[in-house]
Amino acid sequence: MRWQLVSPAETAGLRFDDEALVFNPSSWETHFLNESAALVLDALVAGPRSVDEIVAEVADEVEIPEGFAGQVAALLGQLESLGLVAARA
Amino acid sequence: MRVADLGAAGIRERLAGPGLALDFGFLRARVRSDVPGLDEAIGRVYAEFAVEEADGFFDATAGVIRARGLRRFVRPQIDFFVDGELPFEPFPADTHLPLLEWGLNWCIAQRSNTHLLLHAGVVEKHGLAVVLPALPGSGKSTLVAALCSRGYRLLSDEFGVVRLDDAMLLPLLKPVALKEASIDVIRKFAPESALGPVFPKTRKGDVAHFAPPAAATARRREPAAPALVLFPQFGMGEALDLEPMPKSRAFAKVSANSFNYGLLGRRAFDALGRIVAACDVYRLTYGDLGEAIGAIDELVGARARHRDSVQPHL
Repeated sequence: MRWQLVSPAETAGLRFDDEALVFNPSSWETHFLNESAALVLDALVAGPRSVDEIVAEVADEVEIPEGFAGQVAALLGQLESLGLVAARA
Repeated sequence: MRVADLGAAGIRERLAGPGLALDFGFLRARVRSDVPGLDEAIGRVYAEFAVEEADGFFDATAGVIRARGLRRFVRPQIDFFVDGELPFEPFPADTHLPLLEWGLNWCIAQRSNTHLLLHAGVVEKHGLAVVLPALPGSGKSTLVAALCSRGYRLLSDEFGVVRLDDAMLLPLLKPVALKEASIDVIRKFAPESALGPVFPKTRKGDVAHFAPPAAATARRREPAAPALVLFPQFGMGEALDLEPMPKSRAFAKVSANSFNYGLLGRRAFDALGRIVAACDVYRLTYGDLGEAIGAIDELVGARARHRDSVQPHL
């Protein structure tokens, strides 16, 4: 299964220090993301990714903890419930 | 010619006839009224506004009028109207100017969705705008009035008007409403300031208005670039403290307090993002106006020197 942004062209992000903000075009809400969530979303900006691909890309940027793939999967579920990302087979 | 030059009789004649044109910079309103005493109050708080003809396009035609009904003999009341509608319940007749101001602010908040409206005061010096987001009890209006008595140009007190295309801040010049103890604070701090009459025991307590100075009204079409966001917090006896604030937190606070951030979608996100990215952000705690202004002077001066060092004036 791969994950992708629902509306890549309309999703906008900002980074300030170690926090990020993302504009959600589905709800017009602004969400505040921690560093890990921002890196996951960054990975999806380039196109659809599997969890393993996301983990590999994040690992290139920061040191990841053990079990990070599970955290990414849970995070993607949260982002999906916000309407920011969607899964495709 | 200035509004003050019309005198109370000239203002009364316009209010009762074609209307008194008020150019706030970002918006223009045509004000009409038959309420005694409003002419004199307008002459004081809009003294430095240019006299303009009342024909042509206006964003609103609004004013206060005497309410009908038996109560006009017992305890006279007045209505705020805008473009033929009476949106509020009547108010006591002796609160004419506060009602006019609140009503106009309500119109601005309802109708100005071509721009992002922050709930913030904005002043400018050296071409750099200082944004002072309002939190209840923060002393924002007092600080805005005090800054304007010490060389800062008033852009707005209640509404920080952000142009969506380039995130520049636009003037929206209205009298600064001072409440309760703030009235005497400004009288003592800046005795040369022009204040309107005191309206006792309004719904917001005693209210008086600081009149926009001539230096501000003359530059009512001139925007300013955002440079500082300061969250002021007055506390009696508090020592001066200037604490940097994370920009993401500033974004959250400013967007939550905006009048229309949620209505403007991506364009508001982008514009506010540009402002926060461009600005240094601090929480300013103070107990002494002079100290607070000294600290703001240092911040603005440093920004201006930095700008001039990388972009020298030709």
